[in-house]
Amino acid sequence: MHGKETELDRTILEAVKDPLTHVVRNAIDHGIEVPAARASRGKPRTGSLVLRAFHEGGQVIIEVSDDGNGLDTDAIRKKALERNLVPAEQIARMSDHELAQLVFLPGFSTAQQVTNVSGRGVGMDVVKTNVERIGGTVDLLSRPRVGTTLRIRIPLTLAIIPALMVAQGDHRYAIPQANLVELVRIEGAATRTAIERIHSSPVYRLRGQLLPIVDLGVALGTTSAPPAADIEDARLNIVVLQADDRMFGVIIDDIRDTEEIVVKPLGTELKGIAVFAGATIMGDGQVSLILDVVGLAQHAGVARARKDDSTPETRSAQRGVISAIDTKQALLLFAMRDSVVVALPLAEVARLEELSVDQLECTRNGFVVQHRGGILPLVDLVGVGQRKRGDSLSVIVYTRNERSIGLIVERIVDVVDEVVRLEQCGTEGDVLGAAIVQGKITELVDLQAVIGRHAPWFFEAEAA
Amino acid sequence: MSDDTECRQLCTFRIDGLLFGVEITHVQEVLRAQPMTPVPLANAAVRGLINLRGQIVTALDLRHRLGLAALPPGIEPVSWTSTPAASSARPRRSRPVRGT
Repeated sequence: MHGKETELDRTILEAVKDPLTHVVRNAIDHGIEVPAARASRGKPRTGSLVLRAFHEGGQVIIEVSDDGNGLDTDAIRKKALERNLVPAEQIARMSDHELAQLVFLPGFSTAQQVTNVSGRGVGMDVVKTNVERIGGTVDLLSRPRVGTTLRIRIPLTLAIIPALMVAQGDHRYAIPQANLVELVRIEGAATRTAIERIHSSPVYRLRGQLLPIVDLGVALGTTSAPPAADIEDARLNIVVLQADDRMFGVIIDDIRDTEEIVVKPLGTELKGIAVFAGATIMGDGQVSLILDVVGLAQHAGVARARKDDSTPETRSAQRGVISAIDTKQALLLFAMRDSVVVALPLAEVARLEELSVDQLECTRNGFVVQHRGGILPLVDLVGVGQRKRGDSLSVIVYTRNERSIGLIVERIVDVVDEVVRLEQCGTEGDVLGAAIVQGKITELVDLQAVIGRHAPWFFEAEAA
Repeated sequence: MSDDTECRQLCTFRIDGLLFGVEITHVQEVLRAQPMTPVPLANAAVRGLINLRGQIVTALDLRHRLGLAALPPGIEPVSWTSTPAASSARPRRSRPVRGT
């Protein structure tokens, strides 16, 4: 091993760690021959594997060389034809060096034997993809019976990135282009209605998809430019960003320009602020902060890690059912409380009941009702105490393992058939997400979570 | 003066009429008022970021750190001292100073 002292940017190190492991395994598994074969070729019985890392022209070069068999170009040629990876006439004209590069094609393995460490044909293409993703290159040099050298060239730093400059209040911020999906500009009267609200979370409907919205000024606690007095001049700039696998929109005052910026780290005093990835110096000498898109999403609560739940399996299973279905699905629309209409997959509902307040009886665990010769426990979501005698109550009955529980809700609204496209949009708790139902944004209630919160004993008894 | 008296050089400055000193080995340079980029969500003692010849330096408000009243608006602090961390040559923090 040579060049242990060669330093690399940590992000780059992360990106090459796995490919390197793979390359080393490959070299040992396929490259170096068995001792007997080595001896017959006049090589030392012990194979050698050399790892070198060094700087060259602003790049870091990592070399993995073995003194093994080299690449079997005939086998590569045969395999490439067999798998139909390259046209036959092209293969005939290829040099050995060009042939060697074929091993980077997806699904390529010349190993006769598949072992538990390598030879499954997923590997070298992944190595290449990983390295190229960080702007590096991979080259393979091979001499038959003498050895193979794999050379990875990677940039010293990812410190220069293309970014979109945006203005918020009196200041400019840089958003890495890598996180940027699209820009939306809304003008005139439409600005008043463009942003809808689910509970208190603002959302924007982008081509039928619900996009959680973050106001950068609010998120950063700075003030925004005052809204234009004249509605004709009003405008709304939304930058659509991707944080991990979630998309969200950020409202900013103005979009400026795209620029290549040099990322500089923030001082230790500011490391704790997840919203910023670093800072950069602009052409005019001013310092601009670089937004960390994932950090911003978390800070604003649009990509909050889901809280653990007492019934995680059922939750995820249930969510899987809903989000996987793109066909029509029956939904029960009802007002849970405060006249807000929410939805529930009808399949979750055992039946609906109309009860009178007079039928209710009180126990330690809340209200119950005698029902079909048994006892039906009830979850009171509306505040039954305020209802007059003789009032009727709408109850949604949920049944699981032959045990039932009823939810007293404000009002049953309707049953509709809808194609449900569930969107996570900054909601949490008892809500699975939101979907557009009959042209209106409606939240889908996580029935089990509601029951789990109001009547935890219902699931506990089951576990016992 | 007795023999064990050691002589130390201090960079002195006044804040709100009070005289302070910083060991001169901790001072990299003294700067005039600079344009600053405030850092939202940061500790209130952080006044902002300044561009020190291509290096980004965090500026702390010593008045805030010492619990003194903020400067009345309109009056810019006169100068900064920039102190390198004891172990490295990199300027770690800069401090607003009045009337050095």
